[in-house]
Amino acid sequence: MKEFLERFQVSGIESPKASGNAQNDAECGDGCGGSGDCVDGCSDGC
Amino acid sequence: MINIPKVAWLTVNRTCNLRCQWCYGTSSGFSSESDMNFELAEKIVLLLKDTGVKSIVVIGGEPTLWKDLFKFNDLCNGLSIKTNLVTNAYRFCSEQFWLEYLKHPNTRIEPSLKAFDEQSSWLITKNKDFEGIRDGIQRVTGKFKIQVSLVYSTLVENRLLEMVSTAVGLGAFSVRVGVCTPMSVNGKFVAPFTVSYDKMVSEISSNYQRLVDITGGKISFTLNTPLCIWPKDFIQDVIAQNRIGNGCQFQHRSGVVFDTDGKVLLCNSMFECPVGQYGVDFSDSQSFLALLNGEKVDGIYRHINSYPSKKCIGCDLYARCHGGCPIMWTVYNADRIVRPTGKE
Repeated sequence: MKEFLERFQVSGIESPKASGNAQNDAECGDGCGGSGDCVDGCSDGC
Repeated sequence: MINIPKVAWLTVNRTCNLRCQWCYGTSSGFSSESDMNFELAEKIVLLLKDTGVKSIVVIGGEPTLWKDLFKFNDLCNGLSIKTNLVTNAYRFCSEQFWLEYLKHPNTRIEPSLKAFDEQSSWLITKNKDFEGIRDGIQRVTGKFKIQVSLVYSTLVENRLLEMVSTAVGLGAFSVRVGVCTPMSVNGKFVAPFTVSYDKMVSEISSNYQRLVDITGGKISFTLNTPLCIWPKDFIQDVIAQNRIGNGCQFQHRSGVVFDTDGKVLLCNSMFECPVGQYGVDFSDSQSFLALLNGEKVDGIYRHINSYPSKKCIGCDLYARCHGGCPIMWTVYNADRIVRPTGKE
């Protein structure tokens, strides 16, 4: 696990937790380009 | 506060009828022997329903090749759980399969377009039957008003307009452009198919207005990058027009991925780092939520979601991009990419 985490070259400074809808779990059409086609899942879960 | 996932991704198989070079399936050799057992899928669905998950994304491999797909869809439909099928749609070129599928449908289908003609199909997917792939997607778009997604990789670099035009020509109601992320090969993340940031910014932003025109404005982007590297007017417009989202499920801690054997992943690209397994580490919603909110998982989220660069601290765009896809920082150094000019 430690080795896996070390692959990420990040600052280690804790950032605020994301708020609102994620791009790939939105239920209200966030990021849909105004199509109104609700995006509730990205193509590969990453 | 307890994190409860809103969406779960279910990897039901690893086998596929295409061989996209950038796919995470390459790491498993597209094995046809690792399909998810239906009994396990059923147990996971019941657990997710009990947990409060309202939507399941069915992914592979290629989920239309999973022998239990119809039975699974019937189960979820009976439980009023929404499912989204992410598929290359190739199997739908068979009318017989398509008609049978319509008796056991998902709530939603999102076809993923890989190529724009026979030659590019061979180059990218090692399948020359572009006509069959096209027919499959057109069956879906002919029946449903849906979005078609595509992956922007080095294999279609400089061909983004053709890709989007092809998606529209196949009847896509809207188009989503995703950026190819690094892939894990033999325990190491590599990015041979990720377009360099400079080229990506140049091709997408310089063609933006044409992409909007081609799609009638119905285009969105999963950029996966820090937003500060993009031209300011481009970013202002895609935000104003709701053409980009707000980070990924990992950054929001709002999703969870199940691998074919019931192992839990926090991101599909992190398949080498399962955090637990159904029947071993949890077996009901209570033990499942305890796992997701435990110290170990919290530590993973906290570390990987930390600021990619100190330059991100205080940036107004950070609340929108969260520094970009964390997987990118296994390959690139954010300090060399993030631009303080992103501060507004």
